[in-house]
Amino acid sequence: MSERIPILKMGPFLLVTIQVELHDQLVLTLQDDLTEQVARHRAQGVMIDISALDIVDSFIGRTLAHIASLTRLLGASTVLVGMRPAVAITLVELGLTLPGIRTALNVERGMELLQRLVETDPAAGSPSDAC
Amino acid sequence: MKTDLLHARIRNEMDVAWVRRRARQICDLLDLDHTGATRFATAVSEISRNAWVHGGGGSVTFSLEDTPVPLVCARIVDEGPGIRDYVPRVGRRGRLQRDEGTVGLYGSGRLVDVFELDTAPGAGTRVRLAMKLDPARGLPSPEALTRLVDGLVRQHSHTLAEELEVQNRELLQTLAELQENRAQLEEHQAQLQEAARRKDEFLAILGHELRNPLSAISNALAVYRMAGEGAAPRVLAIVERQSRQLNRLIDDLLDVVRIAQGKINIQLETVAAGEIVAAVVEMNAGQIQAKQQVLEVDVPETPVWLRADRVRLAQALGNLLNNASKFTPAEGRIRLLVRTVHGRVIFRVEDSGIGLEPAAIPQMFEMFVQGPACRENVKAGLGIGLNVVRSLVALHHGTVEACSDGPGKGATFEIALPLAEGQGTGDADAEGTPAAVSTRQRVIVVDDNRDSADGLAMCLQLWGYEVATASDGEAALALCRADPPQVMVLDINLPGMSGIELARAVRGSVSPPPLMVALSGYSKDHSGLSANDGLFDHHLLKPFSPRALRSLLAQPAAPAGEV
Repeated sequence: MSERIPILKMGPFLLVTIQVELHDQLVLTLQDDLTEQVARHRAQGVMIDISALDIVDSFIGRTLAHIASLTRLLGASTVLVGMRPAVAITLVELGLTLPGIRTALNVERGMELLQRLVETDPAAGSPSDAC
Repeated sequence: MKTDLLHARIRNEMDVAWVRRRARQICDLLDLDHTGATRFATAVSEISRNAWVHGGGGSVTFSLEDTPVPLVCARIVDEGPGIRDYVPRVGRRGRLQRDEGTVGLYGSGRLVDVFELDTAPGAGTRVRLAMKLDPARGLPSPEALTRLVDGLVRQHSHTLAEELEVQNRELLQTLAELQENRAQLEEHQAQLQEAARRKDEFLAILGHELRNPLSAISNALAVYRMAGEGAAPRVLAIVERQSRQLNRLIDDLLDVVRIAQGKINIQLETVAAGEIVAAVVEMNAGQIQAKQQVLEVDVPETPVWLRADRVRLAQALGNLLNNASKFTPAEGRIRLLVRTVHGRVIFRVEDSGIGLEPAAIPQMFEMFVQGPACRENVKAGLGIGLNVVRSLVALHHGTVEACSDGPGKGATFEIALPLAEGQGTGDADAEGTPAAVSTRQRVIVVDDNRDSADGLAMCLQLWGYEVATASDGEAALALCRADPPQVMVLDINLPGMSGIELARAVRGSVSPPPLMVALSGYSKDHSGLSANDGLFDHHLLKPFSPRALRSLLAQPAAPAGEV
């Protein structure tokens, strides 16, 4: 399956906007693509916009957390933006935490957060639980 | 009331995503609030993934339940290894253990209003998830539901991959259906080929079987043409015997056709098993004696009553006895016995004949099937006898079974029928009640045809009479004088002293005279009997049924009537 989620490069950042229904392989492909692109572009930050996602189940949530951990090892911070309130509630009730992921309300706030993180030492940025 | 909305299989991750989206759509269509819809869809996603990952695939059924508080449900089922050590923790809030495999399962329990899990190691997992709908809104009307289901089924896939997946799904389903059809066709073809093979074999045998009696008849006629009048008795005997054989073949054939078309009706009446046995023995006595076989008949002393069509049951049992004689060498033994076992009456025919290949027994009752031994033996018949037996016995709500210790070790056939209700309480109608032969009743049978005389004698013995036979008038008269009988059954056309002369001599020398029954091939007017009224008590026209004779014997002496 060659379906892919596009990754945009904006300066030192990579921007991912998930507009399609995520199935497991797609989110795994995204994980591979993102780590590869972070390494290639020496990106300092990654922003993943999930505002179009209705549902984030435990697998998708865990994979997003893995992406954050992997990019952190490669020297980039990851910010998740646009999580819907219902999704947030669901994730909490599922008992799922997203270690290593920073969140922001929308793309604009997410950009600000990334900027801030890069200005300080990105590698030293202490990740916090998203929820 | 429960209304199924959608059923889908879960075989891969695409299915998981598809089911998740459908769950969400169903919630939206049912006006579930946004958070509720997300929770439900997430839980469905979790459990569906478990079904795929841990259960090797499964299925989901969405439904609407019209309980006091209406519910939207998803039932997810897999046939996987089940979950070991599952401890229900539904409803407990807070953080859960981080074990990845169980987060989804336990978390889902907290996401939905109803969570039921049924699992056992090795027995798959069944999960029912449900969300409460707003009772104030009420459930959609049936029309709205139909539209909803239609919409779900027809909804277009959003991506090319999904489109392909849908097409794949349909293709696979079509393929599976095709394969099934093909397998069915192949099976039918094999059945047809087998049927055609049997039919060809049958036609070949039928040709033989019809030709044999015919050629015997034409040979006999050729002999008659050459040898003239002197050969007439033998020629007539041959023609008679062979036409009977032809008749029997054709009757069998017609029976098979009638049975196959379901056109045989049986008329059940209460009959005694012994009576059926007597008729069957009489029918087959000729053949058994011709082969000098020993026939042992064993019928319980107290009458065994059953509901049967006496003609058809006798035909079935007769076929078995005929087979036993056919497949048993000369001087072999045949046993015909009647028993009651667990409310059933058993007719068993045992022989010491060629036996059966045990493997061949199951097919033996099929149409046109003959054992290997039969194929080498053109006298074996049409291969329809046992089929007829089975069909006739089935019409009597009975069963027929065969067994054998193997080739050369004889065979046993058993017909089992239900006993008549009230067996033994004497509710049988008067007609069926056997003539009680309480005091000693001696019968002398006089017939120059030994087969006829012996057959009749066997019947009479079965009915409890003491029987002696004679083949001519002089011998019969001697028997009468030595031990006067109560009954005499005599053929009118005897060689030497005729039946009429014999009857006159008996009446002149035995006192009191026995009940005299005349047998003849002609009606009274043509047999010289009308001129001798009073000489005989009864007159039976050949061929007669043993039953007719029996009812005559049961009656008090009456003026000679023609039966």
